[in-house]
Amino acid sequence: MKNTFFWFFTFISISLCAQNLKDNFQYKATYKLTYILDSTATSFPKSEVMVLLIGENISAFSSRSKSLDNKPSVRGNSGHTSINAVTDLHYIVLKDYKRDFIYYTRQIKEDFFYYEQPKSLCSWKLTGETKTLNGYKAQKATTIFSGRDYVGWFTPEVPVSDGPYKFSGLPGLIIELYDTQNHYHFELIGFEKLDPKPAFKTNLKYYIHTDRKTFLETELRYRRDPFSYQKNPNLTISPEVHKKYIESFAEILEKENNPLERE
Amino acid sequence: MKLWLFIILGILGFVGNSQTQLSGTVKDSSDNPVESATVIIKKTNTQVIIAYTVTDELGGFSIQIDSVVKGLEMEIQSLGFMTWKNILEAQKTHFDIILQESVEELREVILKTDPIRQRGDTLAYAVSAFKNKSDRTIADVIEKMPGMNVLPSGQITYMGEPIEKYYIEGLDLMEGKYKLANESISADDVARVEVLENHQPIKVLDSLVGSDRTSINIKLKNNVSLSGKAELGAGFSPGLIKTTITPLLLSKKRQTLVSYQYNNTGEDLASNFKSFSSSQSLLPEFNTSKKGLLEVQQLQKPPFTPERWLDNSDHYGTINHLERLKKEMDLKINLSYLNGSRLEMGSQKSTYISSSDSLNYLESINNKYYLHSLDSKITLEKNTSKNYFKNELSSQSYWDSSQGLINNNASEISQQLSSPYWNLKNHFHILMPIGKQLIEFNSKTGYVSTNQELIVAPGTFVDFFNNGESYDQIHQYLEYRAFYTDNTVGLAKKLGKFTLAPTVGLSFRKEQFESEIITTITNTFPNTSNNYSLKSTTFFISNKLEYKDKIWQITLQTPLFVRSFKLPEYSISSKPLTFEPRIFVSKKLTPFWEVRLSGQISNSFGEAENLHNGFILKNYRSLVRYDPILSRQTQYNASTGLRYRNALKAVFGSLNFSIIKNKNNLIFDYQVSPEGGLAIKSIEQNNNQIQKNISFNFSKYLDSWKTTLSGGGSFYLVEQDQIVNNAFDRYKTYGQLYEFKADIDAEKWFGIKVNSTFNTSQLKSQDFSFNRVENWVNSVNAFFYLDKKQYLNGAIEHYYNNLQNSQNAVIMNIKYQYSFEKHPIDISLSWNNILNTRNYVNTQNNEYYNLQSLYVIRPSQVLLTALFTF
Repeated sequence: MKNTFFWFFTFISISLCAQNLKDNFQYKATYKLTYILDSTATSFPKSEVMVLLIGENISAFSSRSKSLDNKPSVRGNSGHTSINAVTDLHYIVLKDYKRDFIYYTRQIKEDFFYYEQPKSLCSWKLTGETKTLNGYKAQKATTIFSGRDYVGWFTPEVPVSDGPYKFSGLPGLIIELYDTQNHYHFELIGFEKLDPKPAFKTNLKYYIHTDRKTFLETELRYRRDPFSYQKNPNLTISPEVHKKYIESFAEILEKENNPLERE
Repeated sequence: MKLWLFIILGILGFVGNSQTQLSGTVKDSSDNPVESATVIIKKTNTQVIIAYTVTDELGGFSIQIDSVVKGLEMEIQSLGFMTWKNILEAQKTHFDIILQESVEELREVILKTDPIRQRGDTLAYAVSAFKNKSDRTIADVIEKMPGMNVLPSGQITYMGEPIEKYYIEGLDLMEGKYKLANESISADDVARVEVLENHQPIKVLDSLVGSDRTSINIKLKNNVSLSGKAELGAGFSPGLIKTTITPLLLSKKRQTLVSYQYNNTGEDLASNFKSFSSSQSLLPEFNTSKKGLLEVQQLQKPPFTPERWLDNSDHYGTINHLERLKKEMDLKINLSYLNGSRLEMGSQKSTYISSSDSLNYLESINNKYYLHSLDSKITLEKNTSKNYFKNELSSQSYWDSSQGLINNNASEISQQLSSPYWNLKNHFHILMPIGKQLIEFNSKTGYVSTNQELIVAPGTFVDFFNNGESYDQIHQYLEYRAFYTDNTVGLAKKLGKFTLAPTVGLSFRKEQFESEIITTITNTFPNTSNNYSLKSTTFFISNKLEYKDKIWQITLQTPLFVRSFKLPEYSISSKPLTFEPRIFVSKKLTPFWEVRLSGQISNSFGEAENLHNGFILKNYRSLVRYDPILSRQTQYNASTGLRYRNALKAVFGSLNFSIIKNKNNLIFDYQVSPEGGLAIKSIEQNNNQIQKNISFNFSKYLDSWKTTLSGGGSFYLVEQDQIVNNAFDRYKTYGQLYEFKADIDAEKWFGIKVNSTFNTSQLKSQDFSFNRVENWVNSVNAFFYLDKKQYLNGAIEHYYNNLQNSQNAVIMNIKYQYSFEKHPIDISLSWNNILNTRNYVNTQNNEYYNLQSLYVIRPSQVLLTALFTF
C-alpha cells in the first residue's frame, strides 16, 4: 500500500514539473574538446567534437555523435556503425533560456534521465584581456566550477549568452574554455547558421527526474556492471564470464578518474 | 526570480569611488519586451567589457557600475536585432530602448576539416585489452567484451540482441553457422573485434534503410594467418573419447575452414548444422527441414544439457571455402557431413481416463538411431553500393534410420524405420534501384523428396487387421514429394517518423503424397493406401505502417490473402479470401510505466501430410486417418502488458495477459485400445481451443550484496474439445508456474547462483479429472576463481515429481580447469553425475492424457580434456 502511494506521488510530482521543450535551432557552434580522462596518462589527451545547437529559447550541447543533425551514415569496411557508441560523453545538456534552468539529460539503456540545475551555476569574473580567436574578438573571464578554475573567452559578436557544457552567463558566446590544468579544453572550430532550422522537441515528462547524486550513483551502477543493471530474462551469461566482464569494466572505470566535474 | 539578473557578475579594473546604477527596458519596434538581450558596459577606448547583464521577461534590466561613467559605452545585443550603442553620460541612468529587427546574420566560421569522419568510426575493441592469459579462442575474448555474450548454443548477442553477421576480415565465410569459426580462431591471431552497430549488411541499402542490428568483424593481425583449435579428451566409464581439430586459413581474399570432430561424451554434433540467421516474410515459409512423417516411438528428452544424457557416437566433418572473385563479388562453398549413432533407453506410462474407466499403458523403450547426412551449399553474392545480388543453391541429404524395441509387458515389439530425405533449394535475392526507389525481390524455389518405411513386428492393431489374431509384420510405406516457389516484391519508404512498406507475394506449391500399408496377412484392407496431390497457390498484398517516437510505437500490418487449394482426388477445390491484420501498440505512460497492446488474426489451412483419407501407421501404436476435408484454423490473438522499470531503485517488473482463440473446422477423435493402440481420425465439426495466460515477473538488484533477486509466476488455462473413445468432452488444463532466482556475486573469488522452479497443472474434463502434476526443479551452482589460472565449479540439481515412487533425483557435477600461462593449453577435469543417478523421471499432462517418463541418463563419468590453439 505504501508503495502505491509512493508511486502515486512520484507520478504526481513528475506531472507537476513536466516540461515540454520545443524550439527550432538557428545556429550551430562546433567545439573541439581535448580532455584527459585518466590523470595518470596526461600525455595522451583524447579529443572529441562537441556541438552546441542554439535556438531562441533552448540550447542543446552534446558530443557530435549524439547530435541531432548527425544521423549515423558513415561507411566502413563492411558496413557502418552509429557513432553514438564512439564517445565517452553520453550526455545532452539542455539550457532553457526562459526558465533559466540547465537540464542534464542522459540515456541509459531504454531510460532517459535528467536532473536540473540553475543556469547561473558559476559566477564569472571579467578580465580586461582580449584576443582574436577564429576571427572573433574575444574577452577573457574566469570562474570556478565544480573543483576546477576555468578561463573562458567569450565574444560579444555572437550575442548568445551560452557556451559549452553547463557553462553560460557571459555577454556573448564562450568560444574557448579551459581549466587551469588544461585537462578540459573546449575550442570553437565552427559556427554556422542552420538552414533549414532543425526542430527540437522533447517532453521531460517521459524522462526520469532525479538529482545529480542519485543520477551519478545509478550511472556508476550501470557502468560497473551493465549486465546486472537491468536483467534481460532472455539472456544467460555464465558467472565466470560475468566475473571477467565486471573486472574489465572496473579497469575501464579506473582509467576514467578525471571527470570534468570534480565535486 | 532571476536572481542573477541583480548580481553584477564581473567587475574589472580600477574600483572607482562612485557607484552608478543604470536601469531601463528593451523593446522591439512593436513594443514587445525583448527578453534575454545582453546589456554590456564597455570602455570606449579599449572596447573591454567591464559589466553586463541580461534583460528579464519584461525587457527590464538594471546594472551597477563601480567606476566613473566617463569613457564608457553601453551596448545592447540580441539575436535578430541590430546592436544598440550609446556613450554613457553621467546624468542619464535610465534607458528605454527600442531595438530594430535585423536580418543581418552572424559571421560564420565554416568547419574546414571534419575530424570525426577522418577517424575510423567503427567501435573497435583491441583484443589485447580484453584477453586474459587463459583465453584461447576468439569466442573466449568476445564473451568479455562490453555488451557481448555468447549463449550456450554458440549464438553471439550484443546488448541482448542476436548479431546479424559474423565477418572475418569483412568476409562472411560461415554465414549463420559461425559458431565453429568463433570457437576455433585463436585469440592470438586477432588484432581487433569491430562492433558494427546499426549495421546494414547490404551496401545498396546503406543510408537508405536504417538497421538496428549489430554485426561484428574479426580483424586479423596478419594478412594471411593459419590458425585453429585442437582438443583431445579421454575418460571413463565406459571409455570416453573426444577429439576436435579445426584448422583455418584466413586472408582478405580467400578463407578456408576445415574441421573434424568426434565424441562419445554426449556433445551433440548435429547442432553444428544449426544456423543462427533469420528471415522475415509474410509468406509462410515452406518448411524444408526433415519431417518425421513416420517414427519409432521416442522418449521425452530431459530438459538439461545433452552432455548429461545423450548416449552418442558422432563423427562430423566440414569444409568451408570463400573466394573473393573480384571486387565485391564472393563465391562460397560450404559442405558438412555427419555420421553418428545414438542410444536411447527408458520407459513411459500413458494414462487415459474416460468417465467409465481409466487406462494405463506402460512401454519400455530401447532405441538406436543412425544419423547420416550431408549438407552442401554454393553461394554467389555481389554486394555493391549500386545493387545487391545473392544466389544460394543448397541441398541436404539424410540417410537416417533407426531401430526401436518396445516391451509393453504383453509382448516385445520391434520397429525399423528408414527415413532418407533429400531437398534441393535455390534462394535468389536481389535489390536494385528503380528511379529513386529501391525494389527488393526475393525468390525461393525448391524440391523435397522422402521415401520412408516403417516395419513393425509383430504386427499391431490386430483387431483391425486380423480379427484379433496376431500376425507377423506390418509395413508402412510413404512417399512424399513437394515442389514450391515463393516470391515477393517489396519496397520500404521512410517519411519522418513513419515507415511504409508495401509488399506483394505469390507462392505456388505442389505436393504429392503416396502411402501404403502391407501386412503379412494376405487379406487386403480398404483405406490403407493413399495417393493424392495438393496444389496450392497463395497471393498476398500487404502494407506495413510503422510509427515510432520516444513515447509511441505503432506497427500495423494489413495483408490480404487470396489462396487456392486443389485436391482433385478428393474433389476439393477452395479459394478462401482472408484479411489477416496485425497491430502492435506501445506507449510510455510515465518514465517508469509502459503499456503494450497487440492483436492479430491469422489463418492456416490443411497441409498435404494431414489430408490422407487412408490410414497411416505413424508409429507402432498410432494409426491415423483424416477426413478428406481441408482443415482451416482461424486464430485470434490478443495480449496486453504493463511494464514497470525503475532504474534508480533497480526495480523492474511486468504483468502480462494474453488470450488466444483458435477456431477449427475439424475435431480429432482418439480411440485408445486397452493394448495401447491409438487410432486417430478427424471429423468435420466446428470447435475451438482457448488459451488464457496471466504472468508476472519482477527483479531487484541489491547493490551492497551485488545480488540480483528475481522471480515470477504464471497462471494458465487451456481448454479444447476432444473426442476420446467416442466421448465428446471439453478438456481443460489449469496450470501454475513459479520461479525464483538469486545471482550472488558478493566476492571477487566466489559466486553462486540459486534457482528454483515449481510447476503444477491439472487436466480435467467435464466428467473426471487426472491426478495433479507437480514438478519442482532446484539448482545451486557455485563458482570459485582460485586464481587467474584455476577455476572450480560445482553444481547440484534436484528434480522432484509427485510420482508414486522415485519422486526425487539429484545430479551433482564438478569441474576443474587449469590454464598454462606459457603455453596455449587448457586442461580441464570434469566429473559428471557424481552420485551416479540412473534416471531422470518426469510427469506431465498432454492434451487428453498424462505421461510419465523415465530416461536413462549418462552414468557417473570422469573426463580429462586438453585444448590447444595454434
